[in-house]
Amino acid sequence: MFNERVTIELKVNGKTLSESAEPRMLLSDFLRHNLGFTGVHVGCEHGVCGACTVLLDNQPVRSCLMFAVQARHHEITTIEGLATGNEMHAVQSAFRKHHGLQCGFCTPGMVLTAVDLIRRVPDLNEEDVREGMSGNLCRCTGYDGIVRAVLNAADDLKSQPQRQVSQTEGRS
Amino acid sequence: MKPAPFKYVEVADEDALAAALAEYGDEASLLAGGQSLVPMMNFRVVSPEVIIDLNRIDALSYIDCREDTLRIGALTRHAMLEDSDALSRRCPLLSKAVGNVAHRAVRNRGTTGGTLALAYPGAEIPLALMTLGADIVLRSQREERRVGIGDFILGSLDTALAEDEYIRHVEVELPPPDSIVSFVETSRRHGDFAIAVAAVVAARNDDGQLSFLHIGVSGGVGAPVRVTKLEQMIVGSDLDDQVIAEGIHETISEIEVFGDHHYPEDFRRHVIQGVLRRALNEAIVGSERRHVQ
Repeated sequence: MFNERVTIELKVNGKTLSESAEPRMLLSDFLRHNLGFTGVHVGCEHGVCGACTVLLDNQPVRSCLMFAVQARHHEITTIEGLATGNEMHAVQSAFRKHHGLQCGFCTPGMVLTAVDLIRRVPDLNEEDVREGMSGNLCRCTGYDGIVRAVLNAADDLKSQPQRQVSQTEGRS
Repeated sequence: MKPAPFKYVEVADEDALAAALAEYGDEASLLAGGQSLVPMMNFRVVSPEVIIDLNRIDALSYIDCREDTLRIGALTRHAMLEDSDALSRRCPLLSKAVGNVAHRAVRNRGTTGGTLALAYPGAEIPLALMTLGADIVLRSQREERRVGIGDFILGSLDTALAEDEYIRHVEVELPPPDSIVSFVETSRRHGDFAIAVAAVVAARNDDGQLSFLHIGVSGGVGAPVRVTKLEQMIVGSDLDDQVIAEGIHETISEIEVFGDHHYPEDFRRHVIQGVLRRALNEAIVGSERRHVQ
């Protein structure tokens, strides 16, 4: 009964991938180690730091607080699925342009959280961004750059709203 | 990979859930949102032998807001409460409470039934439901029963749930439509569990008198409490500041509070007093303002 392995078929960034693992395998570890999505960063492993955030059916969730078997019925987007070919997502570009990252460890979680925040809250102000991003920790304490990047990305996406929709759908 | 091995049982409907609980009850944990259970498993604070995953039972995920009754399915995610227009119109206390629960990524998974079944003393939704006087509907293969929330949450991390039972939904008799609500929380960090919270729902009659008042506090060591004695004292007092102040003082001295390695006992009582005073003031002044308009 214990240590049984199950086949876990997941749809990640638009592609269906399959690997076997024990039911106790966390989604974060499964994405990193079994499927190779090393953009899923594993920090605290108890839902506090936000580094492992992925989009589950376009909603941000902590991948360290789900078992991989539970994700079978959903579509997952990791940081690797955000860009279109060589063209980065507007939130990624804004993080680069406005110094939204230093060491980069928190960045995948920050970017995916910001993608959802911008989509969900119209006319974001600085307070909304600080509150909306407060579940993601940056140990470099580079919050000013992050907040600036999110605010600018929101403006950029507003001027070209059709891109936001197409880019946040899963892709291979 | 942190959690200890377990047998994974996924159920697709309520009958399968009840059957799985009847079979594995004493060695199983129910997995709903997993936002408390999975961290506890990652730390191996708990190592259930069987995990019964009920996330596919869509029939348990709904908000049904009628004229005077609200029903929330046990698997309803906190984010659904947060985004519900019906709820913010008819039961704003829950909308306010849910905004204080952790962060959006956690609210996308965490559920009403899950937070009730855990009964963590610093959790916001159990306090809001305690203040509203909700009923909890429980089900097993044996029976379906309805329990008042005061008889459901027995203490810190302790509930009336039997081993083979699950929470089906909660039911709230809605306060008057023109009620004013307040939810005042003090916590160390944004999104953290509360050190203390007070929740108040207040409404006035056509003569401007306070006719409806529910008050709840948490911040002690046990279950959140509805302080009915204070409610009665204030409703009958013509809102005398002295009576309110004495009532608050008396209420706090009756709440069970211990000091721990985070905060000493007097500090906790001091914070409870602060949030209670602010919440009462906000709701009572707010309801006066609404009446004048």
